[in-house]
Amino acid sequence: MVPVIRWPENTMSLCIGLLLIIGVGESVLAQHKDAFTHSTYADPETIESSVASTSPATSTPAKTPKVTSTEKPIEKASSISIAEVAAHASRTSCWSTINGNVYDLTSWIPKHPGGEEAILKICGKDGSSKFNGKHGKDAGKIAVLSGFKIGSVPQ
Amino acid sequence: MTHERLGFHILRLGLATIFLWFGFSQLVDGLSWVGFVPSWAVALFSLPPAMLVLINGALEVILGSLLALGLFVRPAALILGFHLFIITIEIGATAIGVRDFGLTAATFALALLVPQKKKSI
Repeated sequence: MVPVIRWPENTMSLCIGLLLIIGVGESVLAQHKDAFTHSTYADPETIESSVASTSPATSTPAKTPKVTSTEKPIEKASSISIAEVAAHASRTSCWSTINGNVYDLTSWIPKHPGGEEAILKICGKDGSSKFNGKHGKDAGKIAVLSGFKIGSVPQ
Repeated sequence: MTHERLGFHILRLGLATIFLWFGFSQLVDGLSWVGFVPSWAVALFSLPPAMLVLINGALEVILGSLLALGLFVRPAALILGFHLFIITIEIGATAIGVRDFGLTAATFALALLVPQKKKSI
Protein backbone atom coordinates (compact mmCIF):
# COMPACT_ATOMS: atom_id res chain seq x y z
CA MET A 1 0.00 0.00 0.00
CA VAL A 2 2.75 2.41 0.92
CA PRO A 3 4.58 2.29 -2.43
CA VAL A 4 1.30 2.65 -4.28
CA ILE A 5 0.62 5.89 -2.40
CA ARG A 6 4.15 7.31 -2.45
CA TRP A 7 4.92 6.69 -6.11
CA PRO A 8 2.15 8.83 -7.56
CA GLU A 9 2.77 11.47 -4.91
CA ASN A 10 6.41 11.86 -5.97
CA THR A 11 5.51 11.87 -9.65
CA MET A 12 2.77 14.39 -9.08
CA SER A 13 5.17 16.48 -7.05
CA LEU A 14 7.67 16.49 -9.91
CA CYS A 15 4.99 17.36 -12.47
CA ILE A 16 3.62 20.19 -10.35
CA GLY A 17 7.16 21.43 -9.75
CA LEU A 18 7.93 21.43 -13.46
CA LEU A 19 4.70 23.24 -14.25
CA LEU A 20 5.47 25.77 -11.54
CA ILE A 21 8.97 26.45 -12.89
CA ILE A 22 7.68 26.86 -16.44
CA GLY A 23 4.72 28.95 -15.31
CA VAL A 24 6.76 31.32 -13.18
CA GLY A 25 9.42 31.63 -15.87
CA GLU A 26 6.79 32.38 -18.49
CA SER A 27 5.09 34.96 -16.32
CA VAL A 28 8.36 36.75 -15.56
CA LEU A 29 9.26 36.76 -19.25
CA ALA A 30 5.81 38.06 -20.14
CA GLN A 31 6.16 40.80 -17.58
CA HIS A 32 9.48 41.89 -19.02
CA LYS A 33 8.35 41.49 -22.61
CA ASP A 34 8.15 45.23 -23.09
CA ALA A 35 11.71 45.65 -21.92
CA PHE A 36 12.83 43.40 -24.76
CA THR A 37 10.50 44.59 -27.48
CA HIS A 38 11.18 48.23 -26.67
CA SER A 39 14.83 47.75 -25.87
CA THR A 40 16.52 51.10 -26.23
CA TYR A 41 20.01 50.02 -25.36
CA ALA A 42 20.83 49.01 -28.91
CA ASP A 43 18.82 51.59 -30.79
CA PRO A 44 19.20 55.14 -29.49
CA GLU A 45 16.54 56.41 -31.88
CA THR A 46 13.86 54.66 -29.92
CA ILE A 47 14.82 56.25 -26.63
CA GLU A 48 12.61 59.23 -27.20
CA SER A 49 9.52 57.18 -27.79
CA SER A 50 9.93 54.76 -24.95
CA VAL A 51 11.38 56.49 -21.97
CA ALA A 52 9.30 54.45 -19.60
CA SER A 53 10.43 51.10 -20.90
CA THR A 54 14.09 51.97 -20.38
CA SER A 55 13.53 52.56 -16.72
CA PRO A 56 14.69 49.56 -14.76
CA ALA A 57 11.49 49.05 -12.91
CA THR A 58 9.02 50.10 -15.54
CA SER A 59 8.79 46.98 -17.61
CA THR A 60 5.12 47.10 -16.81
CA PRO A 61 4.15 50.59 -17.83
CA ALA A 62 2.02 52.55 -15.43
CA LYS A 63 -1.66 52.06 -16.09
CA THR A 64 -2.46 55.64 -15.31
CA PRO A 65 -5.09 57.29 -17.42
CA LYS A 66 -3.80 60.81 -16.92
CA VAL A 67 -0.23 61.93 -17.28
CA THR A 68 2.45 59.33 -17.78
CA SER A 69 6.08 59.63 -18.68
CA THR A 70 5.40 58.34 -22.18
CA GLU A 71 3.32 61.41 -22.94
CA LYS A 72 6.38 63.56 -22.67
CA PRO A 73 8.98 63.03 -25.36
CA ILE A 74 12.49 63.27 -24.01
CA GLU A 75 13.47 66.26 -26.12
CA LYS A 76 10.56 68.21 -24.68
CA ALA A 77 11.19 66.85 -21.22
CA SER A 78 14.86 67.73 -21.16
CA SER A 79 13.99 70.90 -19.32
CA ILE A 80 11.13 70.59 -16.88
CA SER A 81 9.98 73.40 -14.65
CA ILE A 82 9.47 73.03 -10.90
CA ALA A 83 5.79 73.91 -11.42
CA GLU A 84 5.42 71.07 -13.89
CA VAL A 85 7.02 68.65 -11.45
CA ALA A 86 4.69 69.87 -8.72
CA ALA A 87 1.73 68.92 -10.92
CA HIS A 88 2.81 65.29 -10.70
CA ALA A 89 2.42 64.80 -6.99
CA SER A 90 0.28 61.71 -6.80
CA ARG A 91 0.60 57.96 -6.70
CA THR A 92 -0.60 57.73 -10.28
CA SER A 93 1.94 60.23 -11.56
CA CYS A 94 4.89 60.87 -9.32
CA TRP A 95 7.71 63.12 -10.49
CA SER A 96 10.48 64.36 -8.28
CA THR A 97 13.58 66.48 -8.64
CA ILE A 98 16.77 65.06 -7.24
CA ASN A 99 20.06 66.89 -7.53
CA GLY A 100 18.86 69.00 -10.45
CA ASN A 101 17.33 66.18 -12.45
CA VAL A 102 13.70 65.21 -12.84
CA TYR A 103 12.62 61.62 -12.35
CA ASP A 104 9.33 59.86 -13.02
CA LEU A 105 9.12 57.55 -10.02
CA THR A 106 5.53 56.38 -10.58
CA SER A 107 6.40 52.80 -11.37
CA TRP A 108 9.01 52.68 -8.64
CA ILE A 109 6.52 53.41 -5.85
CA PRO A 110 5.38 49.81 -5.29
CA LYS A 111 8.88 48.45 -5.88
CA HIS A 112 10.91 50.65 -3.56
CA PRO A 113 12.56 48.33 -1.01
CA GLY A 114 12.29 50.99 1.67
CA GLY A 115 8.54 51.17 1.28
CA GLU A 116 6.09 53.23 -0.75
CA GLU A 117 5.89 56.06 1.75
CA ALA A 118 9.46 57.15 1.13
CA ILE A 119 8.72 57.75 -2.55
CA LEU A 120 5.24 59.16 -2.04
CA LYS A 121 6.69 61.80 0.26
CA ILE A 122 8.81 63.28 -2.52
CA CYS A 123 6.22 63.21 -5.32
CA GLY A 124 5.99 66.65 -6.88
CA LYS A 125 8.82 67.92 -4.69
CA ASP A 126 12.54 68.12 -4.46
CA GLY A 127 13.73 64.83 -3.04
CA SER A 128 17.44 65.63 -3.03
CA SER A 129 17.89 65.83 0.72
CA LYS A 130 15.92 62.64 1.34
CA PHE A 131 17.72 60.69 -1.39
CA ASN A 132 21.16 61.98 -0.46
CA GLY A 133 20.49 61.46 3.22
CA LYS A 134 19.35 57.88 2.75
CA HIS A 135 21.49 56.68 -0.14
CA GLY A 136 24.34 59.17 -0.17
CA LYS A 137 26.82 58.37 -2.89
CA ASP A 138 25.80 54.75 -3.34
CA ALA A 139 26.62 54.13 -7.00
CA GLY A 140 24.12 51.30 -7.25
CA LYS A 141 21.21 53.40 -6.02
CA ILE A 142 22.25 56.26 -8.29
CA ALA A 143 22.34 53.84 -11.22
CA VAL A 144 18.81 52.68 -10.47
CA LEU A 145 17.62 56.27 -10.10
CA SER A 146 19.16 57.27 -13.41
CA GLY A 147 16.86 54.82 -15.15
CA PHE A 148 13.91 56.99 -14.21
CA LYS A 149 15.31 60.27 -15.43
CA ILE A 150 13.02 62.20 -17.75
CA GLY A 151 14.72 65.57 -17.77
CA SER A 152 16.34 68.24 -15.69
CA VAL A 153 15.38 71.41 -13.90
CA PRO A 154 16.23 74.57 -15.85
CA GLN A 155 19.25 76.36 -14.42
CA MET B 1 -1.87 12.23 2.06
CA THR B 2 -1.91 13.54 5.62
CA HIS B 3 -2.57 17.16 6.52
CA GLU B 4 1.05 17.56 7.60
CA ARG B 5 2.27 16.27 4.25
CA LEU B 6 -0.14 18.47 2.33
CA GLY B 7 0.94 21.47 4.41
CA PHE B 8 4.57 20.69 3.66
CA HIS B 9 3.89 20.59 -0.09
CA ILE B 10 1.92 23.85 -0.02
CA LEU B 11 4.70 25.57 1.89
CA ARG B 12 7.33 24.10 -0.44
CA LEU B 13 5.54 25.18 -3.62
CA GLY B 14 4.68 28.60 -2.23
CA LEU B 15 8.26 29.36 -1.29
CA ALA B 16 9.52 27.86 -4.55
CA THR B 17 7.29 30.30 -6.44
CA ILE B 18 8.81 33.25 -4.60
CA PHE B 19 12.41 32.22 -5.21
CA LEU B 20 11.74 31.30 -8.83
CA TRP B 21 9.99 34.58 -9.53
CA PHE B 22 12.73 36.72 -8.03
CA GLY B 23 15.45 34.52 -9.52
CA PHE B 24 14.02 34.73 -13.04
CA SER B 25 13.46 38.47 -12.62
CA GLN B 26 17.11 38.98 -11.78
CA LEU B 27 18.20 36.94 -14.79
CA VAL B 28 15.80 38.64 -17.18
CA ASP B 29 16.04 42.21 -15.93
CA GLY B 30 19.27 42.39 -13.96
CA LEU B 31 19.58 46.16 -14.27
CA SER B 32 16.63 46.71 -11.96
CA TRP B 33 18.37 44.78 -9.23
CA VAL B 34 21.86 46.27 -9.42
CA GLY B 35 20.93 48.97 -6.94
CA PHE B 36 20.07 46.39 -4.30
CA VAL B 37 23.52 44.81 -4.25
CA PRO B 38 25.14 45.91 -0.98
CA SER B 39 28.57 47.48 -1.22
CA TRP B 40 30.03 44.91 1.17
CA ALA B 41 29.02 42.12 -1.22
CA VAL B 42 30.82 43.85 -4.09
CA ALA B 43 33.92 44.24 -1.92
CA LEU B 44 33.70 40.66 -0.63
CA PHE B 45 33.41 38.94 -4.00
CA SER B 46 35.33 41.51 -6.04
CA LEU B 47 32.77 41.20 -8.80
CA PRO B 48 30.71 43.86 -10.54
CA PRO B 49 27.20 44.28 -9.07
CA ALA B 50 25.58 43.19 -12.35
CA MET B 51 27.49 39.92 -12.20
CA LEU B 52 26.45 39.39 -8.59
CA VAL B 53 22.82 39.92 -9.58
CA LEU B 54 23.09 37.27 -12.29
CA ILE B 55 24.82 34.80 -9.97
CA ASN B 56 22.25 35.46 -7.27
CA GLY B 57 19.42 35.05 -9.78
CA ALA B 58 20.85 31.77 -11.07
CA LEU B 59 21.25 30.50 -7.51
CA GLU B 60 17.67 31.36 -6.65
CA VAL B 61 16.35 29.73 -9.83
CA ILE B 62 18.35 26.54 -9.23
CA LEU B 63 17.47 26.24 -5.55
CA GLY B 64 13.88 27.35 -6.18
CA SER B 65 13.60 24.65 -8.85
CA LEU B 66 14.83 22.06 -6.37
CA LEU B 67 12.13 23.17 -3.95
CA ALA B 68 9.51 23.05 -6.70
CA LEU B 69 10.56 19.58 -7.79
CA GLY B 70 10.81 18.31 -4.25
CA LEU B 71 14.46 17.38 -4.64
CA PHE B 72 17.07 18.06 -1.95
CA VAL B 73 14.47 20.19 -0.22
CA ARG B 74 16.25 20.38 3.14
CA PRO B 75 19.66 21.61 1.92
CA ALA B 76 18.03 23.89 -0.65
CA ALA B 77 15.73 25.40 1.98
CA LEU B 78 18.59 25.86 4.43
CA ILE B 79 20.74 27.68 1.88
CA LEU B 80 17.82 29.85 0.78
CA GLY B 81 16.92 30.51 4.40
CA PHE B 82 20.40 31.80 5.20
CA HIS B 83 20.40 33.76 1.95
CA LEU B 84 17.09 35.39 2.81
CA PHE B 85 18.25 35.99 6.36
CA ILE B 86 21.18 38.06 5.08
CA ILE B 87 18.82 40.02 2.83
CA THR B 88 16.48 40.60 5.76
CA ILE B 89 19.31 41.94 7.91
CA GLU B 90 20.41 44.15 5.02
CA ILE B 91 16.91 45.61 4.53
CA GLY B 92 16.39 46.24 8.23
CA ALA B 93 13.22 46.91 10.17
CA THR B 94 11.01 48.13 7.34
CA ALA B 95 7.72 46.71 6.09
CA ILE B 96 9.61 44.74 3.47
CA GLY B 97 12.21 43.64 6.02
CA VAL B 98 9.51 42.30 8.31
CA ARG B 99 7.87 40.47 5.41
CA ASP B 100 11.21 38.95 4.45
CA PHE B 101 11.76 37.95 8.06
CA GLY B 102 8.53 35.97 7.88
CA LEU B 103 9.63 34.35 4.64
CA THR B 104 13.01 33.52 6.19
CA ALA B 105 11.26 31.83 9.09
CA ALA B 106 9.00 29.94 6.67
CA THR B 107 12.01 28.77 4.66
CA PHE B 108 13.77 27.47 7.76
CA ALA B 109 10.53 25.83 8.84
CA LEU B 110 10.35 24.08 5.48
CA ALA B 111 13.85 22.71 6.01
CA LEU B 112 12.74 21.30 9.36
CA LEU B 113 9.50 19.89 8.00
CA VAL B 114 11.06 17.71 5.32
CA PRO B 115 9.66 14.23 5.98
CA GLN B 116 12.10 11.54 6.99
CA LYS B 117 12.75 9.04 4.23
CA LYS B 118 11.10 5.72 4.84
CA LYS B 119 12.59 2.54 3.55
CA SER B 120 10.49 1.30 0.65
CA ILE B 121 8.85 -2.02 1.09
